[in-house]
Amino acid sequence: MTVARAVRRFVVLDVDPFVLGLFRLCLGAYVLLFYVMLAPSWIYYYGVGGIASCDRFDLGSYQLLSSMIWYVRSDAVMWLLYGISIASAILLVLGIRWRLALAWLWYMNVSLMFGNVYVVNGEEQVMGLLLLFALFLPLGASFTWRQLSSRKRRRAMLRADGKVRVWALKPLQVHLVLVYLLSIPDKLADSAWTHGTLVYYAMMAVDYPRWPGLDVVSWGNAALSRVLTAFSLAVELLVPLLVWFRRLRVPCVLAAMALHLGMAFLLEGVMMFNLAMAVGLLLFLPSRRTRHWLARRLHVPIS
Amino acid sequence: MGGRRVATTASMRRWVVRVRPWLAGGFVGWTFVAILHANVVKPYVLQGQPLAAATADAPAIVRGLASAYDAIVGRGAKLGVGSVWRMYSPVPRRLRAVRFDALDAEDHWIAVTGPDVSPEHRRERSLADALLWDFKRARISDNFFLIRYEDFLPWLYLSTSRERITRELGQPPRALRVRVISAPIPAPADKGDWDPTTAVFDRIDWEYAIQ
Repeated sequence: MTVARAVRRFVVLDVDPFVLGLFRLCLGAYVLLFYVMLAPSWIYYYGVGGIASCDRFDLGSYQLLSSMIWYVRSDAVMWLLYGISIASAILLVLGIRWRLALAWLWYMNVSLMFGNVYVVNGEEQVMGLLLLFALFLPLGASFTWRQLSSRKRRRAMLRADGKVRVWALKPLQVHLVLVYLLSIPDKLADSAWTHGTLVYYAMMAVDYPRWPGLDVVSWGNAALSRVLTAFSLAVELLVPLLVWFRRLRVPCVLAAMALHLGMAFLLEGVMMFNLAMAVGLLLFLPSRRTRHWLARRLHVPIS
Repeated sequence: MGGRRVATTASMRRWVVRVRPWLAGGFVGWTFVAILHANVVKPYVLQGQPLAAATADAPAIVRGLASAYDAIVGRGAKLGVGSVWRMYSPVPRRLRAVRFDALDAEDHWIAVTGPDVSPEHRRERSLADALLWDFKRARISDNFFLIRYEDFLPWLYLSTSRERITRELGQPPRALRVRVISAPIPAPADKGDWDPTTAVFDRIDWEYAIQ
């Protein structure tokens, strides 16, 4: 019973819902960006005559939920699915029927992941994770269209001092830190990481960086590369451990955000993955403190 | 009628309230088991195979339990839980290309995908599919395709994918020859004027022929 109680105390939390709403808003914006960017390749990647060379029903029995796009027989229907997904992302941003929208976007993500595995990248995996857990989180308590539509309501949202019970937040947070921790053994076994030349090699690849062959990372025996590689390793090693301590939470989130936004800026090929991680990191922000901080910035008095 | 409906609704609500903690607990428990499965059990204990394959010779009840495990945890983990295994791997340090020579066709240089394809995918699917996908995506000229890849094992996949290669080439090749070439990125101290955008792919790393 004691173990059950300890598990329950670890998992079931009463939290201020402010940051959950912010997370919903950013997740919706991210998914919207994902689909907008996918538009030129939508039919090419997933359409009936697209590049997925495996036969569509080959994998039918392989997955628990089959990809719906295996059953689509025309590009018009593919565009219909696309339109529904865009509309769902907008509803998610606005906080209108957001849970239904989330359910659609999650299943659509599963469908895309297994519809053509060769165009899957880290972003679909992190997005799947965020969408699945978000289904079980109370994300509609702040940053909805209604709350943002007038000054009075915005102020009321910033003043609202309530709490909601959540049980899906901690598993999602654990899962997110595992993304860092599980890649550490591979990195420590790789001389580019341990010698600090990883960023140099990444920038010298032809298809990863936004500016291939950027000379500045090789100057001074790759001094900049060594600093950035060490920063990256330190963040990935320390943030998953230190983020659980209340006082260190904000610095940890800021450091990890800096890492992901920096990577998204420098490395074109992993931009969306890094943005997905940055959206996930919002869930670690202390909700009440964030709300009060924003209220002070907007000169909203808090009792 | 109205009274009965109210009573039914209230009873359903009570039932939902009673069941909800169990559903939540089940979901959370499944989450952690799926994480453990995808990151430890599958890669290291099962070596990428389903549990059912590892227990093929066991009694029926064990096989049944193994199948249930695969369905609930193994496949379930793919729905958004536990699939972060080695998500972002080290960046490749060599630029690579693969050359497909079909005797009845022109030379084809085929682009190979990068570390985005997880080891799990490499094992479970034909990499030739990935090759041919990049073949269409990363075309630089009619017979040259640029790629990057680490730990690339094309022979494993080519041997099972001749039909697909044939389809892509538009004719049945009597034989296929695969050549992996690279343009290694120099160490920082040796970089000099070396530029990835003009690098010459001239090092043959590996060659394989299928008759």
